[in-house]
Amino acid sequence: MRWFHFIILIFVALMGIVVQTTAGQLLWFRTPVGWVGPELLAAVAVFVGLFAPRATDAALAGWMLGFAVDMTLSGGGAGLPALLYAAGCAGIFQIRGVLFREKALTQMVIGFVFCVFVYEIWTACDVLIFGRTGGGYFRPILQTLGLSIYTAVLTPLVCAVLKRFQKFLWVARSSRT
Amino acid sequence: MRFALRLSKKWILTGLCLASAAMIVLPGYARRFRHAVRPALVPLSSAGTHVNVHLRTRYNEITGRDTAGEGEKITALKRQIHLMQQMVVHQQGQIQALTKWSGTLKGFRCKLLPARVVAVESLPLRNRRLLGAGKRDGVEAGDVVTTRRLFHETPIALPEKLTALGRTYVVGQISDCAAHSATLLLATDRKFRMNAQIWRMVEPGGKRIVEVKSPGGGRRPITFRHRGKSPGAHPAGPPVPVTATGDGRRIVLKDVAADHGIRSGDVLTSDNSAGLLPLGLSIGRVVRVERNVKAAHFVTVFVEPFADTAGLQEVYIVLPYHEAGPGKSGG
Repeated sequence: MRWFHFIILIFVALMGIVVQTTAGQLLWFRTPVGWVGPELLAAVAVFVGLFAPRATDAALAGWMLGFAVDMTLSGGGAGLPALLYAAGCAGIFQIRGVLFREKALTQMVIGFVFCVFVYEIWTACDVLIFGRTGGGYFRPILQTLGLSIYTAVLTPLVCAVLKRFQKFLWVARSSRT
Repeated sequence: MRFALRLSKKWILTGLCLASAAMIVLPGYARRFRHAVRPALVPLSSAGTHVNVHLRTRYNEITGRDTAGEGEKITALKRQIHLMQQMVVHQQGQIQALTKWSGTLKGFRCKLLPARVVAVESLPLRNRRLLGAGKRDGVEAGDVVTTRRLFHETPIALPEKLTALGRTYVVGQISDCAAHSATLLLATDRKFRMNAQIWRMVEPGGKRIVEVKSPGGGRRPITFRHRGKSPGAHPAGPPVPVTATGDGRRIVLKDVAADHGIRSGDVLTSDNSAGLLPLGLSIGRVVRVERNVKAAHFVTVFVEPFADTAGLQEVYIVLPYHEAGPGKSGG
């Protein structure tokens, strides 16, 4: 993965974050535990983890995506999403050898696990370390699960779109499909 | 060459991860960094938010959600009446205070700063918005934010001298402020916390028994009846001071004494007892009251906000007026 590809990835992250902070709100819906909506950059991170040529590239790209999410958040926990995204992408890269990564179901499951990993840790830190919250501890965890499921459903769609533009991101040979 | 490039990527990754770790342990610097990055995102996000709100409004028009009109207008008028009633009660209190020479009459002076919602937070886990006004405009953390929707948007013939009927509801507070942007903490956010008052309401044709403090120090029940002068509900008795917090979905008032008799339909307004807010800023309506399992003498009250936070675009930031303060001015 060349630096030119990273510049394209930064552009993708920027576009993703703009969509997510504006029109993405149209996809949110209200549940008894609060608002639930998809995390589009997590789906992009899953794609990066599954198809990046090297582990370092996956982690670096994951860090960029997490950093983009981080910059649009407020309150405590700054820096944490970038680290978790990098770790998540590197983790997906490590296990992808035993996965059928082109399958939609695989992408959904990985999307769900990735979101649970990133956002359950982030939510736990937010609730336990960065201050008092209303609504107890159980509700944010359920809300995060909702976000994870929603993102998992959309992950194959995002992967399918990005797959078409994969040649602009990197050149990779898939070992197992 | 390839080896060197790969090595440098590893070093860069290590450096970035260390920077992230530093942001976690040094939140003050991280906050400044976020403030510095925001101006790059604001112009793009602002346009996107406009598209989002426009689409939502058109969708509501097409599906007929926005023309739920008549009932909503009546409800809004009832709230206006409620506001006027609060003002009457307030004025009566002030007259009483003046008569007894026990206080001075001071009107609240504030500046309403118009601002625009330029983006939502990227995650729905927090109920926050990014506003396009910041410290340079005089905004500070803790300032209250209200809606900026006019009642005469609908095609109704209004009296000539009546220029605007506002539907002004509190939507939240400023939690974080940069030079040209600010983070709005919505009233339903889990970190929201604000002093407020609950007004117990009596419906037309109805009556309500409210326990009121007697001059001797005890409490005695007083029956309030609807005066019948207006179609809206009247406040019965003095307001109950409470602390409003968010639970991610609604506003929650915890540990409210059960003997206040709060029930569905009562109205939550901002607490202006300290003179920090203008009078009569409505926040929401009580939708559920639950008795505490552990403490039977207390209840938990759930309040639905009046403001439609999903379609929020134009807001007012309430800036208290300071005589000598250079940062804030107006009147």
